[in-house]
Amino acid sequence: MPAPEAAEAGSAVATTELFYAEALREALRLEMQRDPRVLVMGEDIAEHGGAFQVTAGLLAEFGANRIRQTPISEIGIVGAGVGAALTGLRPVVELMYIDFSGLAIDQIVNQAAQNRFMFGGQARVPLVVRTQGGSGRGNAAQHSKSLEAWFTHVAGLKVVMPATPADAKGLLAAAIRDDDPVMFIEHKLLYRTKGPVPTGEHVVPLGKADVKRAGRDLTIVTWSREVLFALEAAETLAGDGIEAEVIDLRTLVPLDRDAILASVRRTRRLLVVHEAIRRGGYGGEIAAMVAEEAFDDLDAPPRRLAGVETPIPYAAHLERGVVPQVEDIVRVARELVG
Amino acid sequence: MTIDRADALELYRVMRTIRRFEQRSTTLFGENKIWGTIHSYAGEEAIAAGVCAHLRDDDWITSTHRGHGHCIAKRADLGRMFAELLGRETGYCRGRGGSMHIADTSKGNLGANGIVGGGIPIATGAALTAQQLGTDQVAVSFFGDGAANQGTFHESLNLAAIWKLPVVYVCENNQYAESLPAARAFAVDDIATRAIGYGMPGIHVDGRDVRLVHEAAGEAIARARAGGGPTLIVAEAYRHEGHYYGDPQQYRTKGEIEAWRATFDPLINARAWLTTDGLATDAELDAIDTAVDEEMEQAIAWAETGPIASPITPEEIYASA
Amino acid sequence: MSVTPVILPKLGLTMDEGRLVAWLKKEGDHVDAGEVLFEVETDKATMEVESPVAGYVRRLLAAGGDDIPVTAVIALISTTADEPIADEPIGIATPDAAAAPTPEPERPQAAAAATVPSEASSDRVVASPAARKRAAELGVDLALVRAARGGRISIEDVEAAGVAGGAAAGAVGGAADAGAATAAPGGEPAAQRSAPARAPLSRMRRVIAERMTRSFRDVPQFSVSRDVDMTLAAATKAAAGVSYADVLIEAVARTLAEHPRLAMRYDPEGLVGADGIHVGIAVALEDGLLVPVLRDADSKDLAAISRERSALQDGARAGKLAADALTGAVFTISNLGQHGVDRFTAIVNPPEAAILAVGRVRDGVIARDGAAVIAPVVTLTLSVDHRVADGAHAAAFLADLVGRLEGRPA
Repeated sequence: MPAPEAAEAGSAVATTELFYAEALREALRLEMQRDPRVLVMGEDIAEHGGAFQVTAGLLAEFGANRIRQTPISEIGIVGAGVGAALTGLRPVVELMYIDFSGLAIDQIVNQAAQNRFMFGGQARVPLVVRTQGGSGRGNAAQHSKSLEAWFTHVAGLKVVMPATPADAKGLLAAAIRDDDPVMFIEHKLLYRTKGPVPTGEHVVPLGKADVKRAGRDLTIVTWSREVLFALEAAETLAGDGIEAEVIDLRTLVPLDRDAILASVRRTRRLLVVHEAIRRGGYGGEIAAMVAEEAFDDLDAPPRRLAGVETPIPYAAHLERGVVPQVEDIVRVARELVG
Repeated sequence: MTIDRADALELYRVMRTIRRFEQRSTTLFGENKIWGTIHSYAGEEAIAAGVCAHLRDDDWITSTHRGHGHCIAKRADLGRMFAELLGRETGYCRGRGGSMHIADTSKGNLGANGIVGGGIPIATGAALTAQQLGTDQVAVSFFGDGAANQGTFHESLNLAAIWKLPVVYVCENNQYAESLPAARAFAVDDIATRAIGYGMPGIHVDGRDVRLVHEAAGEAIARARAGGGPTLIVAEAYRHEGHYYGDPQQYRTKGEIEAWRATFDPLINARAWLTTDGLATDAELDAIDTAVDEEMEQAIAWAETGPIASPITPEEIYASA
Repeated sequence: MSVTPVILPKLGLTMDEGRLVAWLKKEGDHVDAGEVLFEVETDKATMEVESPVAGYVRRLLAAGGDDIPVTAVIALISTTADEPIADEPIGIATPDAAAAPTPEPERPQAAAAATVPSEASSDRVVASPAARKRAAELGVDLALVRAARGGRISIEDVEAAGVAGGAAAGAVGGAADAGAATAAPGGEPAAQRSAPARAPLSRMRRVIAERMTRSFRDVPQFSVSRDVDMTLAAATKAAAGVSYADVLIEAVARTLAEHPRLAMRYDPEGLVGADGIHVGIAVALEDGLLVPVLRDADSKDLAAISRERSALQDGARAGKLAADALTGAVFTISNLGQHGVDRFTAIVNPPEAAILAVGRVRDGVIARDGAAVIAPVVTLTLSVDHRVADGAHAAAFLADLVGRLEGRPA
């Protein structure tokens, strides 16, 4: 009956249908019950329950010391998180939008990511920075970016991006239990998506990708909201006799290279899809890695389908047009398979 | 203010150790044995010594790029400090950090910091830990006049004040933020008045006299330990050497430096009142000087025997696999 | 008594040397610890350097204006004014690599070596995309190409295979006189009986062996033959002052232009059309074959064809042809007529789909208007890749070719 420690959604465990936001809340609640050192800090997280309702109800259960609402002081919040993590707490700090991470970036990049190394192993920083990004709500350029590539480029950070409610719960639990600083990047349009979530303790290991759909004709590697689009596209492609394998990375750093390579060695075609703009996006890292490691298994050049290199525009049709949609994935997959 | 003889001699010894450490590391740098650069704390010893005298090993500090003094005042092992500067495996940070990131977490030193103002929120977070876990530990954040204009200063002081965190903010005003004189960086004459804006006590002390620093710090630390919340202490000091070793110091004149060094030297100041107040004789103080010098040479000799830093392994980057 | 060496200190992160500006003391002067002893100019400023100890300046080992490397000893101070001291400077333990190690840069963890091919599944030839493209252009079969290094066939490997006469026109049976098959390149006489002679294969022989084996094994090929009345061809030949070979090339080129099917090549994803009527002309060498290519033969007149054919043959025999003169053929003509062969069947030369084997032009008896007449006759045998064309295609091509040569519709 109780879920085994690393249960994946889909195995024979009891599940409930939860919203992604609720799944995150579940993880926070269980981890805070389990470990008194876990606390949450951020803006609007107390009575308001968080900008996306992730912490709704937690104030009543855990009190104002552990659901600690802060003024609008990003570098103060994250820096305090670093100090607390260095000295024995396991803080989960929230940056309301990833677009604001620049306000706190020194504490993430120069402090949290590096303290363990700089101090020769004397310290560890078990800090989780929860944030969200992505477009599709008309929030325009300063509230809609996908900036995960910034953080994948920092040695010492881990970067996690769940796509489903079950993974959101399991990965957040794992991130909190992890002794390293984790950038936990949610998506604003995923909070209200629903899915089966294992009840009780549910931990999904970091660094392990998930084959969300098996296929033989091409490998689509993707993460966050584009996973849902890729799965939809795969259904359409199946109608044409094209079976796409969809790999949800779940963790960007550490990268599950083995899963990607095993898949590409079978399908011989790689398509990376991400919402973030193409230039400098994490898709480049994956495409280069595959070209280096599986060159002789490829029947086509590794391809990336990514956001157009523009700030996110306001008007709805413009906003939709700058990130990969289902039909784009279908089109590019068809081109790739030929 | 009264201070007993044992405490007074210990304060002197700590200051003298810091001064000698800075002199010797300067010489080692001149001999091309230290990679990178170093930032001398000479002239500011009274602040580190006076504050840290009140701290236990389980109290925390965060430091600056000019961090040797704080490290020593927090009872670090001199040999391991030198070994770090010499890039040895036996250094505090296994040669990975160097002067600007030297840390000694067993003594609560959460590290020197290469980012101006970078340590201020970290000390605030350490204080949060104490409050959260219900202990009477205290955190002290050392920073300079330069950092007092960084966003981290403002955000951290406000957080500490609204949450009444057990943290003491110690601003070491050595009159210069790199090349910028403090007079041109502040529209107020007294940095300590900023405390009013954040709702905490602000105390201004002459950092030349270790007794004054010791007293002010003692009150602030006791208040924090008792749950009375944060304090801002601004200690005046003077940086004897350049911002970094080799700084041509075109922003101040030799005359100014000489004048300040003549009148602003915590060691000379301490020797004067120690002897005048009958707490020690010159001979006793000379003996302390000699003992410190010998200890320093032994530490250097030990450090120089250490193996060079070993190659980096992946386990160093991440604590969890 | 003790002697303290005074060094030129490193005064800045990037300082390697400094210029001594001036001594503030002379030899023999007393100096206090901390008293300024000399001034040095760095690239940033002139800095004062204090004496490390108190004592007497006994030796000044550098002069104002000297450029001095960092940590060099430039003065000696001793505790007394007059004790004897050594003439050579006493070096301080000048830090060498052991003491102040210039850190070896961490080798960046490079991705797995790019030259070693990944463990590709075993049924695939391991070749780079550039190599594959070139192999297709040259008509080189990758399965027969050996990778010079690293296990992955490179473009250089393919080009080497192509230049070495990767196109071997089938000379089954006729190879004997093409290169004295029994005589090995090394010249060992076949008569030796004491131990079985073993002659190493030249690159060309190796390629011919591999290519012909592959063609024979993998290309389902058939042949169709016709005897041709060469009366008209003989007249054309005489009038133009060219050879039978030229007349044949011209006729083949024009016929091929009308029968593009036979100029295509097989690919599992679809037949690939020719980019031009480029006719390969097999040239026998001493122990091998080359097939130089006469490009766009359908656009050249008889005289041009003749000149070019001649030049290509000469070049081939002299070994002076460039790689691109040996690549790109879409159809090959192999002629053993001058060696006396009446008729033969050539092996299709992949990736081409067809090859025409030409025997000798001989006096033959043919029927013309009901009577037996003697006329010059030649037997043409067309071998065709059945994956590209069927008997009917082959027959139609041959019929039109014969019709052209005989001057009438077939």
